[in-house]
Order: sequence, then structure tokens, then C-alpha cells
Amino acid sequence: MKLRIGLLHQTVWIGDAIGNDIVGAYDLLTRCGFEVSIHCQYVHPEVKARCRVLSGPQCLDAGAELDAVIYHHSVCWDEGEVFLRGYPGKVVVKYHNITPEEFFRPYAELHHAKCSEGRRQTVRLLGMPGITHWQCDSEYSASELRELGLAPAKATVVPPFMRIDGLLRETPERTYPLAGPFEALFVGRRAPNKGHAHVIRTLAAWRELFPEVALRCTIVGSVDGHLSSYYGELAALQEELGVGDAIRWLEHVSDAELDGLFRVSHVYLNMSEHEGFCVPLVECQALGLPVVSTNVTALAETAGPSQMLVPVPGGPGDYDFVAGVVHEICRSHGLREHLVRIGFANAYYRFAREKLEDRFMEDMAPVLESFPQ
Amino acid sequence: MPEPEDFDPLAALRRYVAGLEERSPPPEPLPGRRLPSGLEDTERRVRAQVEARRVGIGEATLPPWGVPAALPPLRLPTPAAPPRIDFRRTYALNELLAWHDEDFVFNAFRALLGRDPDPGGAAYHLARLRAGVERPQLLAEIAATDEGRQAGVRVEGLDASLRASRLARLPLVGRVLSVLRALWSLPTTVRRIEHLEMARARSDRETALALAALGEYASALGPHIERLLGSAVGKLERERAAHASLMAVIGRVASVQAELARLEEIVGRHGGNARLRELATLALEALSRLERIKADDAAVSRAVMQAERVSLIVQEIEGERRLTQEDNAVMDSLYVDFEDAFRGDRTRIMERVAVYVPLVHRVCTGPEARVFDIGCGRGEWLEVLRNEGVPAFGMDTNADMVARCRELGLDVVQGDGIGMLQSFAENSLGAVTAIHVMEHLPFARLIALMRAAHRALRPGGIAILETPNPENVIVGACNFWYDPTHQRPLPPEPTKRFAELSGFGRVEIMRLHPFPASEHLPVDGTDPLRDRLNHLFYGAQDYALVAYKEAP
Repeated sequence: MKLRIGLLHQTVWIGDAIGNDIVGAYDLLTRCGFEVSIHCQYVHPEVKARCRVLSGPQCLDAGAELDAVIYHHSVCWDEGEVFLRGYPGKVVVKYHNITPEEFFRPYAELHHAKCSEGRRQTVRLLGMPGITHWQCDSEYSASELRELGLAPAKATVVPPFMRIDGLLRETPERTYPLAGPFEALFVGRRAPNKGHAHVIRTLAAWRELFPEVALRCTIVGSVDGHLSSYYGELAALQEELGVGDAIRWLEHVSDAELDGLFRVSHVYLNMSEHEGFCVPLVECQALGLPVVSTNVTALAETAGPSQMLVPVPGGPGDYDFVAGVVHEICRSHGLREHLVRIGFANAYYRFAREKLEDRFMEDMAPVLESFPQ
Repeated sequence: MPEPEDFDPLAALRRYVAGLEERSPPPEPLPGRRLPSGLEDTERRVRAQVEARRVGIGEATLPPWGVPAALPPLRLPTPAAPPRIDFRRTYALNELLAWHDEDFVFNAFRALLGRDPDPGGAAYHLARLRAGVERPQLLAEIAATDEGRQAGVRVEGLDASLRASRLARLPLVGRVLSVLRALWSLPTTVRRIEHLEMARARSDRETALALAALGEYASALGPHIERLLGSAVGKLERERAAHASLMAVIGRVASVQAELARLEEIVGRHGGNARLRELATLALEALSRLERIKADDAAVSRAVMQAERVSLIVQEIEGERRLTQEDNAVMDSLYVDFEDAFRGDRTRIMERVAVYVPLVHRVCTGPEARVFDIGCGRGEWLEVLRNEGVPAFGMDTNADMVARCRELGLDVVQGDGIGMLQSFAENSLGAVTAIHVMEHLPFARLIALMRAAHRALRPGGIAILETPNPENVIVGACNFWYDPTHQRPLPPEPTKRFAELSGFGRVEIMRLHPFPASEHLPVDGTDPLRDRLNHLFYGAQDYALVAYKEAP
């Protein structure tokens, strides 16, 4: 009889990093001959169509029959916690990190409470005896758990599954006129931890420092009705600094449109202040788009060695520096080539599909091999 | 690495919590402010370029994040520029008299001196004009300056006007002339009035526009101030909320502190509970991390997580404590049964301990020279002392034992004997006895017992500390281990040394209770090995350290 493995998370959505990770694990485990099912309250129709999914309020009712569970933890899911408390089988928690609630405190009480409760839930899960180990997206997340008392051997690092193999087949180098105008890109949901204000200020600094050449930025990301005051602040800042014409805000784009944006951009500008992993960085590297990123949380680790990592700006001089760095990348073929080549190697050697699959199976082996054959 | 024997996590935790408010360790280092290694050249190049560009355009001044955008600037209507008279050599007087006030002074300078007025000169002449000096007179004065004479500009009609003014100042005739002059210049005067009215209308229009702009500005000011206040209030609220979160964290820490007092008593009994020790260590670690995080105000979420962890550990400690209390109750009853079965019957023990009576009699001579018996068990020794008329009292952790002693009318309380001993006044006891107690104690507690006894004894007082003698191989290898609560055998010589190191000036070893001679190997004096074997196997089963506190 096949071993039955359940993948659990409150929401499984296509285009979302966690959804992609879950579907990646589903495909791999299925290929390895296990009977795999996804258990979630909310599911994308595409996932529902191609995977074995139990969704809705009763998604965990038959969970006790599973031999092992991989519980993805990225948000407070009360039903999931209740299930784990009564579940007798083996549990691996995949930890995707949770945004610190202080980012949301000024803007959305709901998000603040959810993040806070999610982080408290992390601590409660850490105290559960049935969890064999915690798979973390990044060393940063693993260190967070160790700080909370998890034994070092129980915190492993397994990067999430992502879809970069199609991108990796492209030739990374490309040429373009150095006279500009230049296009920057940022992809990520429109939330306060993503550092949108830093992007706006960087554009303002560019405009002062390099008036002879234009820099525009496209910011792609879903919008959340609870964060309207955050968006109001961004709009006011943009107006005040007079850079509204240099920024294009996009909410919903198709995969093809996003792919097109990656290809026409000259630099990826990520000013985020908190990331548990940051898949777009790797996607850019796979495509040959040079990256300028902040060096906090998991970002430096994901970007890999010798990439253009800058501190989170704290004053006008810092924005000048970020603008200067972007300018240097756009105008210097040598530097650009260096970043693109090393970035491509980082994406290929660390995050190509077979690498991720090997790492995942290596990590899961002690759990899967403990069952009688 | 195993913990050192004397590491007491509870004491460490308590010390830690007590010092929590005072200590403030340095915050964790901030991430570096440089690009990764290998890109140093790029960083230098970029910084140099940015700096060079800034020199040309001035410092960047970006408003801080979170503060509302600056108030839109007040845009007052620009007043019409003063009419500027052309530079010529000759002007008609009426041409200049078409202007009034500032405009007049401005154009008088231009006409007569060929330049715009300097601020000082303009102010001076404007002041005179407003003081009532007639405009032709003012023109004459400007033209009469060195600069005016040098310019040599001619104003047609100025001299006539000045003359007429002079005539008008003559008595009687002047008045008539003034009226005639006014009549003569009536058409010009009408034109001037019309001109003034037009200027007035223009001025009114400008004033209205300015007032409208001011009104608009004022109406924008209100919401702006509200936004500023809102931002400040929001910031205060955020800080207050963050502070409240931290206070909740600290509150939980305080609950740990309260818990410690109760825990200590439990852990002190029966050598403590391994899980409790482990939990206390975990709580200590978590609190230590919490304090580091607390120094960083931005990391409220991490502090909350650590606080949650401390809270969960405390919950587990409470659960463990309940279990331990239940275990202790079971253990107390079980231990009484054990003593009855293996320690020996009461009469026999009373006979055995009677050996210490002469020692106690020697030192307990006054009414204050009481004997304190730690771990009094079933109270045999206290009963012997009562029979001998020596004032004595005892203490035991086992509730059943204490109840049994009280039934016999003995003065016994339940609790930690070492803690009690430490609370006595210095030099206040005649004797301290602990019969078959030392072997139950971890090493650190044993030393604590000896030191506390030395402190509490009067000079000349004695401590009698009896324990199984592991020199007897049967005791060391077997009988000692009958009691599962024994920690380890204590050989006499090192134990004596520990007593000396704890302050006792003279320590003697009394070897006691050898097996009866009937159980010895027969000895005929020819086989020394038999003597040796008898000593090893059938020699003293117990010994007592008799330690004297010497007079200073």
C-alpha cells in the first residue's frame, strides 16, 4: 500500500510562492510513488483541477488517515493547529516565516493581529512533541526558530520549489543602449514591509542626481483593501517628491506580461525590509536581470555571493547611494555582466529544479524511510 | 556539555529576573553599511560620483517617512509690477505726477537719476511724501542732489509748479491764486482721480484675490494640522501599543518571578525534578534572549514570540509542579513504609543513636543550647534526647514522617532543614545533628549544610553527621543502594576534609555498627587475610563525623 502524505496550508494559490512550493512538493512526491493529497481551506481552480485536493471547511476531516503530514506554516491557521494537536502520525513543518506585525501596526489592525497571532502560533507549534523537524525556506528562518529554542538539528534549510527552469534556458546576457531611458522593476504584494517608499525616494534621488537620463519603475503587486492608508501615504509621498510620472503601479498582470516586464527591465530594485526567502530575486537572476536589493532578513542569503546588496536606506544620503548604484549598473556593461553571470550561477547551482528536488528528498528521507516498506 | 554539579538554574533565573530592569546589554549589531566584498571598487566609484553630483545641486532634503506631505505653498496673486517710466532727457511734470506713493518715488528716481531707487533712498523719500511734502517739491529735491544735477534731466512745468506753490503760500493773494490754480488744473485733476479710481479698483481686485488665496490656504491649513496631529497621535499610539506589548512581556516575566518562589521549594525537595531543572534552564535562555530583543524597540514581534515561549514554559512548569506535588505525596508515604522495612525497628535505632548522648550532654549545658536535628525521620533521636532532658527540635521534608513525630509529642516542623539552619542566628545552637541525611544531598547542598551548621553553632558546639560507611564493601556495593533516593556513598576521609574546609576546627570520625561478631570469619591469629576480610566485609556499617566549632 502506498504511503499517504498530506500537504497542509490554509490557502493554495497559483502564482503565490507558497502555492508553488506546495504544488512542487506534490508533483515530486507523486512521481516518487507516494499517495499525495493537498488539504486547504481555499484553493486555486487550476490546482484543484490537476491535483488531489481536499478543500473547504472539512478539508482536514480525513487527515487522521494520513501517514505523514507536511504542514506549511506562514499564517495563523487555527484549524490546522487543532488538527496537528490530535494527529498521531509524523509531522514536518515547512516554515515560510511570518511578516513581523509591527509593519502593519500603523495601517491595518486586522493584519497586525493576524501576523501577531501567527507568530504566537509558531511558538505553540514549536512546543508540539509530534513534529519531527522544521524545514525552513532560509537559514534566516531557521535561525529565528533556533532563537526560540528549537534544537539546531531540528531546523533544516530547504528552499521552496519555484518555476525558474523555463527561465534558465534563456541566454542571460543582453545588450541595450546606454543612453537610457532605463526601466526598473519590483514585484511583490503592496504591503508595508516591501519598502515601496524607498523605491519612490530612490527615484526622486535619481531625478536630482542624474537629470540627463530618465529612470522609470514598474511596481507589480496585488492590492489589499485593508491597507488603503498605506497606499494614501505612498501617493502623497509620490506627489510631494514629484515622481508620479516615473512610477507605474500594476496590480494584476498575466504570466506573459510579467515575463515581458522582466525582459524589458534593466534592473530589479528590491527595497523590501522583510523577506523569508524572496523568489523574485532568483527569477531575475535566472533571466539575467541584475538585482539591487536590501541586505536584510533572508535577502542576502537568497541573492547569493557578490550581488548588489545595500543596507535599508535610513537617510537622504542612502537614497543617493542606491540611485548611484542603479545608475552604475545601468551604465556599466562590465559591472552588469559580472552581476548577471554570478546571479545566473546562483540561480542555476542552488535553485534549479533538480537541486531543489534532491535537497527536499534528502531532507525528507529520515521521515519517509522510517515507514515499513 | 553537562552542567556543573552546583549549577542551580532556578537561582540563576531568579538572579536574572531580579536584574532584568537594571541591565541593558548592547543591541545586536546592525547590518553593515557597505556593499558585499568584491564590489568595493564599485562602491567607491558610486559614492564619489554621487558626492560630486551633490556638490552641484545641494543637499538632498527628503521628508521623513510617515509624516504628511508638506503644506502646499501659499500662492498669493502677484501684484502688478510697478509701471516703469522710460529713461529720457526730458519729462513733462504731469507725466510724473500721474504716479502716487511708492510708484511715484520709484519713477521719480528712474526719471531724474536714471536708475531704480536704492532701498534707503526710496524709503526716505516715501516717508517724506507720506509726511505731506508735495510731489513737485520732492522732484525738485531729488533733481537738486549731486546725482540729479549730474544727470541733468529736465522736467517741464516743474519750475512753474514750484513758483505757483511758493505764491500760494503768500497771505491772502496766495489763497486766491490757489483757487484759480485749482480751477485751471481741474481737467487734469479729474483725470488723476479717474486714474486713482482705476488703480484702486485694480488694487481691490488684487486684494480680493489675495484674500481668496489666503482663505484657501487657511482651509488647507486645518486638515494639514489635523494630519500632522493625526500623524503625531498615530505615532504616539504606535509607541504606546509597542510599549504595552513590551509591558505585557515584562508582566509575564514577573509571573515567572512569582512562580520561582514556589518552584524553589519543590525543586529543593528530593533533589529536584530533572524536567523542572530543564524547564527552568529553558526559561532562563528564553528570558535572556527576550532581554536582548527588548533593547531593540523595533523588534516587538520577536519579543512577543519570546514572551509567548516563556509563557508556555511557565505553563509547563506549573503542570510539572502539580505532578511533582502529587508525586511527592506518594513518595512521602512510600518512604515511610520503606524506612519501616529497611531502616530497622524504632527501639534498635534508639539504642544505636544513644551513642551520641554523652557528646551532646557535654556541649548542651545551658537552656539555650538546643539541638537541631535535620531530617529527623521517625523521631528516634529526638525521643532519646527528650528522655535525656536535652531541649531539641527537628525538621523533615516528609509530611508523613512529621505527622508521626507530632503524634509522639515531638517538636518537629516540615520543611527544608538546610534553609532553616541558614535562617538561625549565628552562634545560637548547641548541636546540629543529621543522621543519614548527607547521602541524600547533592554535593553543593552537602557543603551548604556543613557551612550553615558551622555558622549556627555556638563556639564549642558540635555537628554530628551520620552516614553509611562505604569502607564496608557490602555497604558500599549493596546496602547503600537499598534507598533509591541516595545520591552517592561518602567515604569518611574526604567527607571529614570537606567539614574542615567548611570551617570546623576539629573533626573526628566515629565508625559505628559493625556486623555482629557471630557473622565474622573465625579468626585464630594466624591468617591476617581473615582480619582484613572481616574489616572489609563485616566492619563498621556507618560512621559519624563529629565536628567541633572551636572558640574564636
